Amino acid sequence: MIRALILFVSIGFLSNTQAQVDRSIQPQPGPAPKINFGTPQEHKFKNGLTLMVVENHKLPKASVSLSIDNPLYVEGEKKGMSGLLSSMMGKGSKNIPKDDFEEEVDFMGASLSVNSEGAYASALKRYFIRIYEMMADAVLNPNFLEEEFNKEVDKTLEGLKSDEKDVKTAARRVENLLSYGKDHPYGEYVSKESVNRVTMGDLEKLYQKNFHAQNAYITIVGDIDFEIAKKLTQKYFGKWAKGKVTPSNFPKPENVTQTQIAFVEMSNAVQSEVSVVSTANLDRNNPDYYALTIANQILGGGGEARLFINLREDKGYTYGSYSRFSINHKTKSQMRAFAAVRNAVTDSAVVQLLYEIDRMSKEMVSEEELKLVKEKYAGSLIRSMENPENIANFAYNTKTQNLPANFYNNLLENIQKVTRENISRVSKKYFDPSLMRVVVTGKESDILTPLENIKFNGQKLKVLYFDKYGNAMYR
Amino acid sequence: MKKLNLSIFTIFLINCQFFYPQKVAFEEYDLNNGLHVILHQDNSVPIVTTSVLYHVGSKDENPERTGFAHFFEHLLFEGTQNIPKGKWFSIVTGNGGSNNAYTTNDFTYYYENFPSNNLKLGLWMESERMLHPIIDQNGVDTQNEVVKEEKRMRYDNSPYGKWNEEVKSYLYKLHPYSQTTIGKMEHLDAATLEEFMAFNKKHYIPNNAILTVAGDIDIPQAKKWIEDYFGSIPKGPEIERNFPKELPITETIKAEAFDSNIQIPAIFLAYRTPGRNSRDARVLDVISTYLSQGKSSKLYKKLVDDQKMSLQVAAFNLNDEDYSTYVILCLPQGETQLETLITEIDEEVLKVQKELISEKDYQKLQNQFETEFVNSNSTIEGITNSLAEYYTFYDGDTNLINKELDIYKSIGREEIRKVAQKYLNPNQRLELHYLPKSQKEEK
Repeated sequence: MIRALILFVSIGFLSNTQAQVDRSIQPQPGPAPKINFGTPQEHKFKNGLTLMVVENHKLPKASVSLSIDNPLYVEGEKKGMSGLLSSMMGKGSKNIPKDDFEEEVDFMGASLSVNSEGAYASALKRYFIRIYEMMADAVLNPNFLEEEFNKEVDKTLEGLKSDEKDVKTAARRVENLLSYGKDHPYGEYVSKESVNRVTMGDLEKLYQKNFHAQNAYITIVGDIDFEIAKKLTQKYFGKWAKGKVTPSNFPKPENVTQTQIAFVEMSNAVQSEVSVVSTANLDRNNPDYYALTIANQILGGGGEARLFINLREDKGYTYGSYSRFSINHKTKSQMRAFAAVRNAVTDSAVVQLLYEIDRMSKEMVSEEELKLVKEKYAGSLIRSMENPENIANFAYNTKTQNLPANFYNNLLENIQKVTRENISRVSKKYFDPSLMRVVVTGKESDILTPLENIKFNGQKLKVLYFDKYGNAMYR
Repeated sequence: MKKLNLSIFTIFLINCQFFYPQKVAFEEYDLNNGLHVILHQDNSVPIVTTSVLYHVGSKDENPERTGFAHFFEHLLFEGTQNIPKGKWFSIVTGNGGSNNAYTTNDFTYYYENFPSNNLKLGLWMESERMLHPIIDQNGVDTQNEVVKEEKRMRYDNSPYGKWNEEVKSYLYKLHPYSQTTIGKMEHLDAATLEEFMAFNKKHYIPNNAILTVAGDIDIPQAKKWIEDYFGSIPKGPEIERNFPKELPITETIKAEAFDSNIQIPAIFLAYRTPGRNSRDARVLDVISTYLSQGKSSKLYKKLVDDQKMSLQVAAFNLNDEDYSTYVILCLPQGETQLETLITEIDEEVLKVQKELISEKDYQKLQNQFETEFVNSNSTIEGITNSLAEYYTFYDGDTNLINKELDIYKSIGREEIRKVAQKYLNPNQRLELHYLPKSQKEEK
């Protein structure tokens, strides 16, 4: 009894001494975990189709995705075609009536969707073979029902109507239009008129153009054996015609040569959408990629970045302010620094966004900022290992973007090599405010006069006026 | 050979009714100060999530000071005695992590995801937040503006953004579920620093919190660090929760609301139903799935697909601690009147009340819930969150993470009918006509 008591006391004492931790010292990380993405197993079929499989047996489910790496294309006066094709695909097939098809997908608790140049399906392991078979059937034998076509046109029109007063929708539409131009795949937008011009024949033609085995990639991820995946793919897609890739042509987007404000009127806005936009050639093969990735993180990559700290944490103008680069190898990428702010501080927010962008190109970033962002990047790579679909995505990017085979394996190392000087160099090139448009979408009576009086680097900024569809207004 | 194996395996799965993909093993215990700890080890990927669930949400607020719990979701990132103001996010990301937080009617949830070599850092940060956050006028003033922007962005400037606030105001007359998580801006403007400090002292205490740690961890090491950092945080007085009960709704409540961000109206049918820790709440989940999940579901098939009356239809049960809110929402297509939509929806609900659903539909529901169950345990972040909520809101039954599918599978067709009869009657609901603002001007 006494011995037990002593033991008890000494344990108590021991744990008390252990609890003496100095909490004023921030704990340091242990040894960094190894990054190991692995590579998918692969097979290329005779018709040009590539299969990539990532086996992962943790959960009894699997998914399959089909991506066809087509060039971008302009839809022109029939904009809305690709959206309509997406909504028409996957409604059964020539072999299975629509209602039966949808009933069966739901019955399995599965999901299946087909879009204008690909498809995705996932299911519990026991239903995977069937869902894959159905996906293939929907992709290869679309039924193009007239009744469904009319329904989808109506739905698209109603959808446009329901977004008519949405400030964000209008803002993104005009930002893209101004960045890329109206004859560019990313600049053109769907309208009532353009949807009404689309016929069923257009969709059938577009389907023929988009769907073919050449440049097609199927990735299967989950609880499945590679050999089985290969046999299934051979069975469903082995005889798919190779087809040909249709090249397309559209004008190159141009930046402005002097910073200007584009004002877009939305009378119901209680917040202004402010975006500073420009475009640049930036794909993953560009030697500037690594330094610019880091530079963008420092400017507006998250809650620790300059825009957030300045516009939200310091000034309380907004719920969040960030900057993003859309990496693109088929056309120019868009850079966008943005915030949604209350009407009264719209002009101040514009000034601060421009100030932070300008500062990137004028001052060297600090050693501390650089180190932080590198750690952040490493952490996000480690965390992305959790989702096995990322392994497939990386392999897909490597193939379709002509990246060196070891691009992702070396990614972290290349990011770690970036110096402050590199960042300064790319910032001067890509974060030059004179290339940028400031697109402000908001309520004229509350915000326009202050906007017209903004001075940046001692100069008044030119203001251009647009309606919510991006039509220039003269006043 | 391989093919043969697969088919045998498939047969095995079909015959095995209660097959579990991956049991989530966990350990749980209380520290002396009442902090409940849940640990789940999974070493397959070198990541870890640390989270703290505080059992405080908008229902715990003074009706004259709504929005406090959510406000704290912002304030508690401002800094602590050992974490300088404005450094929270950079410490997290500078160590390869990501973090966030959210607030509901019942609780507030804070978490960090890190590479597993930073478990100790995650624990330190959460313990700092619990022990001695800095709450000062400067932080309050900044976050006051930020929260207002959040409200404008999420609710005031967003199409259909105010439906939830409207629904709550009609369904809850006595219970504080009438309050929204974002709160009233005039309440936040009027609040004093002392009030904020008092709210913190009352609710953000170890005995009102659940610490959950999951991922690539070493359990003895994790336990030691948890004791080191959290063990000395003082316990607070027990919190009493004694919320008023609502009187049953016996007559249809008809109401209108107006939104300047929309062109197309919507109808919201909302019913007050039992809290999440009840069998009936789960049966209502099953009914929602039956009515509106997937293209072959009853309401979608009929209203959107066959009759082309509706752009969108959805039924869902918003599960909360004391009550849940069952909502059926529908947007008309073309010239369809909202009253017509109500009639058509009622016809389908009436069928659930009168007839047993078909055997085939029943099997479909089982498959749908099994899929959801498998998917819900696919990330460490998701598992961490589920463990904490199961413990907090289901009488401490953390193991529901492994058993919940059994409960759904045990719900029979007759029970579905009975629950529909019990709760989903027209005289028990709100019929909210949610209309474009322009229509108001015309009136």
